[in-house]
Amino acid sequence: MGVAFITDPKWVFRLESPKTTKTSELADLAKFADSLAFEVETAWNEVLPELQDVLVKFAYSGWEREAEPASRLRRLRVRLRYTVLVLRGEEELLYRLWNSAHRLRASVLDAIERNNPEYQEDLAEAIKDALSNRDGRTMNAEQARERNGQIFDQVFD
Amino acid sequence: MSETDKYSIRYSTRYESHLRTLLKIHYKKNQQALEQFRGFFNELTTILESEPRKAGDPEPWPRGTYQEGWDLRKVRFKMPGLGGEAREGRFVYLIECETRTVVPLVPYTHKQYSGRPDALLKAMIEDETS
Repeated sequence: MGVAFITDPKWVFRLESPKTTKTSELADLAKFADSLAFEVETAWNEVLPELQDVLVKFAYSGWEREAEPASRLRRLRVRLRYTVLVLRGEEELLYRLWNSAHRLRASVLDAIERNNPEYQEDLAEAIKDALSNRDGRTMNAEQARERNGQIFDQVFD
Repeated sequence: MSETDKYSIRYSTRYESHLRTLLKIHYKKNQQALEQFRGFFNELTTILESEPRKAGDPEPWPRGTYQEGWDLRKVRFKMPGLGGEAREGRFVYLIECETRTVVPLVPYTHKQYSGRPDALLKAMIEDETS
């Protein structure tokens, strides 16, 4: 799977739109996605640019597909394959695929955020501010919920 | 859990301003979703008081900001009533280990720091998932 993925990284899209119901292929796909997610989490900047490009597109593809009515037929085909897995009693494999896809997408979105200079700047300023105001008033959860209530109630006044 | 095991929570003016901005951008015209978000936020506050480490994952410190004895963490969640990149909500906070204090820093959505590749995205998805 690793070699196949490197020569055709678009494989990653099959995590959510599998073109097969073969148990071994789907298990390999989930396993490879997990190892890829680990790479993204630990060393995004060392991931090959071509692969980064595919992963970024994968991370944003879910919303595109949700918003696209023309993809109904495609979704139906995918659901049929899922149904086959469930009928074979392989729900666990299905959950594994979904979890792997979710983890990979989350890790890529995190990497995108962390590579945004504005994010680094905003977070650095917030940390600096928090560290320089250590004598501020502390609250328990009840008081904090009350404060949340005031903020939510007054925000549009 | 006894009262002494619980963590205190400290809001800053900057944090409250970030929260107000988030609400104004996303919930001005959606009262129902605003209420759902309030409910989620209050639940998160309860968890932060008892188990702040379990609430979120470790987040790398921006360059030059690391502080010994503090833990930087991030919670990922779905923003009620929103779609696309705005649905991906985030909440970054600090834990001061010695004083057992949680300090919320920035609530935001992925949309704010997006790297969305518009060009060819649609075509590629069509190609790969058909």
